[in-house]
Amino acid sequence: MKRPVNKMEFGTPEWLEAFVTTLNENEAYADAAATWEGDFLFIVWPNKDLEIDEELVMWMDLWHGKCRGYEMLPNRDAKETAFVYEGEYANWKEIIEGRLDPIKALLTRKMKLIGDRAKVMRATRAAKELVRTAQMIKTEFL
Amino acid sequence: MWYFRSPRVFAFGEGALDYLKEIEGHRAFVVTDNTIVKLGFLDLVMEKLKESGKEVAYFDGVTPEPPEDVVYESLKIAQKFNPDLIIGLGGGSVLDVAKVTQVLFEHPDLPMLEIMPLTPITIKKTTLIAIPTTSGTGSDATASAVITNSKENYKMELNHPVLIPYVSILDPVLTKSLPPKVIASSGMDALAQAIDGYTVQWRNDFSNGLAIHSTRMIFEYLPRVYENPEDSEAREKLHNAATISGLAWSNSFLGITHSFGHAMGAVFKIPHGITVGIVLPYSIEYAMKTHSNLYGELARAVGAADSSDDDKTATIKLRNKVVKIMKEMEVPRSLKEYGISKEKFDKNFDDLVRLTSESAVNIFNCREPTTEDMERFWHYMYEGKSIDF
Repeated sequence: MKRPVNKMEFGTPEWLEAFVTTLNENEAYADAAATWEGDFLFIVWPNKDLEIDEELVMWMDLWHGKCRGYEMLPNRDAKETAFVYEGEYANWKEIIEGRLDPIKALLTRKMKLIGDRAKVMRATRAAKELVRTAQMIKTEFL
Repeated sequence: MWYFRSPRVFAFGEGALDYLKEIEGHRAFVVTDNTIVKLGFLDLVMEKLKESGKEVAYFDGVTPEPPEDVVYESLKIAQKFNPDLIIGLGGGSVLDVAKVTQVLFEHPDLPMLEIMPLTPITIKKTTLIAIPTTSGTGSDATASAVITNSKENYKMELNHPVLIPYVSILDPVLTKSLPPKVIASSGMDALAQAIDGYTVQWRNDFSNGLAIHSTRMIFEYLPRVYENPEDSEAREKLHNAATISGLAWSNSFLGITHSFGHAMGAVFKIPHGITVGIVLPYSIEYAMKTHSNLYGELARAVGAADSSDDDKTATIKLRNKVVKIMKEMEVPRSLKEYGISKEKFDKNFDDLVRLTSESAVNIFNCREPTTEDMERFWHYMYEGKSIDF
C-alpha cells in the first residue's frame, strides 16, 4: 500500500498535527466553537486508484474551541466518538481546497455525517471555521 | 452541484381555489386557525373539497409562532382521520404546522429536530397542499418550517425537501381581510427573505432572478396594499411576490436577518415579520463594509438606485428605501422603539447572542458575524444606531 510520504500530505500524522496546532491558534475557530463539546472521527474512504487500501481515520477531541486530543487511528472501531464525518478522498480534497462547502457536501450526499445531526446544525459556524483552518495548511494531495 | 426545488404546481390568481377540485384524493385534512374559520375561508375551502367528493376533517388550533404541542395536537386528529391530502390554510405558522404534521403523520416516531436535510425521509401516503392567506412567508414554496421549542425557548429551523408542498394555491381573495398590521409584518418578512435570498453565499443563477423580481414587486406593491387593501391588483401581485421570494430563498438560504430575527422572536415573542423587518436595515449596513457589490447590484436591478450609482451609494439607497417603507407602515426601527425596556434587553442579552450564534443561517450570510459582532449588533439594534463596524 502506498502511504502518504510528504510531511503535509493530507491524511498523515504530520498533517493532523499541523492541523491541530493551527486550529488551537485560530481565534475565529475558538470563537465559533466556544460552546462545542464532542469528538469526531474524520474518515477518508479507501481508494484503489490512489492506493489507499484502508480507511484513513483521524480522531479529534473538540472541546470549547480547542482540540484537546488527537490521533491517527488504525480503523474506525478503535474509538467510539460522538460524530463521524466521512467521504471520498476527492471530496475531502475539494473541501480543503475551498471548492466544496462542507455543509453543501452533506446536503448533496458527497459527505456523510453520523451523530447528533441537530447538534451539528446548531454549530455550523464552528464547522465552517474548522474547514477554514484546514485551508490555512499547505496541504499536498495524492 | 446544487439543486433547485419547488412545488409541482402553482395555481394563482382569482379563482385559484377551484384547483382544489382537480386535485386527486379522497380524504382531506385541513390545518388552519380560528381567525381563518371566523373569516369563512375554511367553509369556502371545505365547500370546494366536498364539491369534488372529498371527505374533510380539520384542525383549527394553530397559534402564532407555534410550539411543538400544536403540531402534535394536529397530528392526533390527522391520525384519527387518516387523510390522503393534508392542506395548510392560513399564514406562515399554519402552513408550517401543516408541513410538519404531514412528515410526522408518515413518520410518527421521528423526532421533530430530525426534520433536516441529512435525514432520509420519504412521503408516500399523503399530498401536501398549501393555501397561504397572508402575503409574507412564502412557506407554500419552501423546504422549511419554523416551530418553537418551548422547553428550550428557541425556534427550530426545520428544513427538508419533503417540506415543500406539492401544490401551492395563491388566491388573492383570501388576503382581502388582512389588517394593516398583518400586511406590514408579513410584507416585511417577504422583503427580508427576498433581499437575504439574493445576497447570501449560496445565491445561484436560479434563485437570483426570483429574488430580484420579488424584491422589485414587494417594493412596488407592498406600500400600495398597505395604503389601500382594496387594491385588488396590488394584492394579487404582492401575494405572488411573497411566494416568489420564498422560492428564491428556499433555494439559496437566508442570512443574519433571520438568525437575529429568530432569536428576537423567541426571546421577546415579537411576530416574525416584525423581527426580520427590524433587523433588515442593520443587516444591510453590516454587509456594506464587505459586500456592497451584492446589495448595489440588487438596488440597481430593482430600481432602488440609479444605474450610474456606485455600489456603496446604491446600497445606501436600498437601505433607505427599506426604511422608508417601514416608516410608512409604522414598523418599529429598533427594539427600544418596539417597547422593549433596557432592563428586559439586558436581562436577556446572553440568550439573544447565544440563540443568534446557534442559528444555522449565519454561515450563509455574505459577511459572517463573529460573536463580538453579534453582541455589538444587538446593542446597536436596541438603540436604533446605524451599524458602523
